[in-house]
Amino acid sequence: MLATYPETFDIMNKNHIDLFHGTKISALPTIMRDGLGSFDSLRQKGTTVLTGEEYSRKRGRPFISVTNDLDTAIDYSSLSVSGQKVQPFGIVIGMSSEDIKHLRHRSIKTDCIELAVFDNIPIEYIKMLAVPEDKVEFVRKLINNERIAVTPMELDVNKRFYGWDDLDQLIISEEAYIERMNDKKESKLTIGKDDMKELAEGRHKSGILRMYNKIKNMIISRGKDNGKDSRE
Amino acid sequence: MEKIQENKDTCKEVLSILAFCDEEIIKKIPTQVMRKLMEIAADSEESYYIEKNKKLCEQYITEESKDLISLIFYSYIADENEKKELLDAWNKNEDVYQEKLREKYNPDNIFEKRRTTYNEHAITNELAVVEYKETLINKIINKIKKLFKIK
Repeated sequence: MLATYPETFDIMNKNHIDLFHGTKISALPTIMRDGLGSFDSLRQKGTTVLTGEEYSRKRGRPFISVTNDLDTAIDYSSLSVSGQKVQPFGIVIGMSSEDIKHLRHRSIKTDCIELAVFDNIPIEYIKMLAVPEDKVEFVRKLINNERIAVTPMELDVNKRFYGWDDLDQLIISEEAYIERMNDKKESKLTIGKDDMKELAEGRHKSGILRMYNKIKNMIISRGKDNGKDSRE
Repeated sequence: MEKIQENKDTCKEVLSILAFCDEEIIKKIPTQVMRKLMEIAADSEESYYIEKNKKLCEQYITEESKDLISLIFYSYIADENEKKELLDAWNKNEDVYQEKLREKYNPDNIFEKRRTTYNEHAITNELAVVEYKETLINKIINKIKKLFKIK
């Protein structure tokens, strides 16, 4: 990471970010509203748990798993659905142990080293969201929170070009690095302006107006906006 | 019957689509709009996926989400010419859509259909050749009449 995204490394260093939690973007709306909750606490609140942690789903865990091993967190964020269906992308949430120590926690050893946090982690403790490079702008806009740094990170474990040998020496695979750079140039699943236009051209006026009114009423009824729009 | 999607789920599905959008598109959508979509989506318990090898038009997306994506495109991404083209397309599509609705739900058409069916039935009844079937008693009476030569 120091080689690929030095800015992310700087942010982690400056903000004392040393604990991580990997998840999927689909969990972000709820996290930004309620903070991080354990599987059990979310279930008690009646919230459906949407992401990862098969272990938690089967057995239920009354804690949030965080780790100081960035690779483990990346592994969790990279868990993907099999077949042709994909969720947009993973995220790694960065926190500081300086904050987490105020919450009830305990070190546990499962198949990896984890820190079990028994209280819910409030949103104020989230200091960083690491996402794929081309999603930084999207997530920044989505959270609109200057206190949380949104930074780029390679979250696809298959594209990692570095590793460690038995003596903990950093090794860089030139072949994997070239492959990764070529892959960046390849077209990914990206929706462009023409795709959106093609979709929009197939709609009809009353459907669009109905949706406009639905969204406007929803914003008014939530009492957070007056819903006025000059385009009306 | 087609399921009507709840607003919170529409917002979540649209966010899932926007997550795959070009950075240039995302830059044009106001932060407040994105934020509002996320606030509403936070209530959703659905997860949405995208088919890797399909174009946006070919994806399985609900009608509500298609409308919201189109609304976002019209409001923030399309240029003036594209807006005009879209309005024309939406008006034309609306005519076709309304025509289909009229055909489907117009009471005159429903009555007309019923009346036609009734008339056809009446005509069929009127012109139908009714087969005369001789009953057993009639057969006996007719034989007795023949025997005594009674007409």
